[in-house]
Amino acid sequence: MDIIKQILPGKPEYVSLVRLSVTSIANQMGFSIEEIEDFKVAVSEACTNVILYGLKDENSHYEVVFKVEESTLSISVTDNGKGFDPKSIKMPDLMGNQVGGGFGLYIIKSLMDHVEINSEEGTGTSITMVKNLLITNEV
Amino acid sequence: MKVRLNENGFISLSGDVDIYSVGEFREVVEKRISNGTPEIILDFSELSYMDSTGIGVLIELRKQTIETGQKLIILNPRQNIKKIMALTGIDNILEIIENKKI
Repeated sequence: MDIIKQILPGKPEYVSLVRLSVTSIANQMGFSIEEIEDFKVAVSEACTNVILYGLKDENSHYEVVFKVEESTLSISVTDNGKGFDPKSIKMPDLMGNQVGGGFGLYIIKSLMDHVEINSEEGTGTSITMVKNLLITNEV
Repeated sequence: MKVRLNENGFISLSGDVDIYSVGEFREVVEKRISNGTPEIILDFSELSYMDSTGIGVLIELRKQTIETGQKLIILNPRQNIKKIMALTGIDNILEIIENKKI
């Protein structure tokens, strides 16, 4: 297993850097263009949630770890913020009455094969997103 | 993200709408809403990426245009953006036009 780690400032301008990284890694592993798009959205949603809700202060950093196995890519996004109860997150209302949050986690769960959230109040949140490479007979 | 205001009134977007650029996206469209244009047409044909930050703003913008009696129209979104719009259900509440050339 290969491990790639990125430590990022909790700033919006660096989320695109994580998208570039996941694009490169997933492409190298042989994921399809559509699957790479799924990865880009999923990691961005996780990083966006960190920046919006998971930072101790404006100088905080967070960590993104890519674990590359032969047919599995697993990405963990970890912050040291205040944590949350994953069960408390609801889908937003499409009428625009309670904008913000909610969609991110829902989208991640829809796009990835497996998602695990570990969050503890006061110590932070870690979300791990896994997608498996479908083996085809292509040479 | 890059924004081009076309002579025909379309707002053409290219690049990425994410947490970094979403503020500018909202500003550009809100400006057009406040101009009183009856139809606000967002050309997505060159937009390569959008996530829930953009979806959230589209929901807000739709609410604003309903209040003012204007129309918000999305033109030619790419497959990956259509997927996110379908996942969140906003494809059911937004007017989306495909295959229309400017």
